[in-house]
Amino acid sequence: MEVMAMETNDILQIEKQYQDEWLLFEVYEVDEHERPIRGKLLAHSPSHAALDEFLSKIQCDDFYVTYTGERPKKGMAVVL
Amino acid sequence: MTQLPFDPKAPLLIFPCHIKYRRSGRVWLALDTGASTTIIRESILRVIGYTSELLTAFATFGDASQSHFVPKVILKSFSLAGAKVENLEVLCHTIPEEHGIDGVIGLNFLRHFNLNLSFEQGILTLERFNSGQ
Repeated sequence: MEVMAMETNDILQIEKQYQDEWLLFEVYEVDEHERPIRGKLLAHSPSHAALDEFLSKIQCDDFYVTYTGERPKKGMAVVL
Repeated sequence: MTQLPFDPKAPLLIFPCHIKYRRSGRVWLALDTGASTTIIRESILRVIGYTSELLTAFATFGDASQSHFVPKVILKSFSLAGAKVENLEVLCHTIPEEHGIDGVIGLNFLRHFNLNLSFEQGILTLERFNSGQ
């Protein structure tokens, strides 16, 4: 997992820089649908569990977790 | 009335949901009209503030292949865009990471609203009705 110290920025633009990873943001702004649009990337990892562990150790009152790969992975059918 | 765009060709209909307790967490859940109950990744609920001390009740749910015995908790606030439900009971489960989501939005949330999925336009509409609650 890599811990980041990027400045506040456009979340969609940041997501495009990372493939098949989980991203953790601190949220600063949401759109009219309450979707996060601006924030600070705190960490990214292929492992969700790594982000959870990191998140449990930091102070962040409004966070957003998203995955940048295909949902679900290509070729996988999901019956939830 | 809440309207949200979605990709009508996507294999899962996923939406960002907002859970507020000691922390505010925003995660992607799949809309699942075949699920009786909303299910959320246990680790996410823990970092929002639903710690082990609060996960003392359990429930059993079945998926397509097996039964699971999991903790359940009542969320103080759960919302999908402007559609908000307070005191929503959810099940806590370890969602496989390869799914790329943190859970599913089930009927116990959806039944608070009249629901329309326009696959022609790619628009989800949720309209709260007076259920007498």
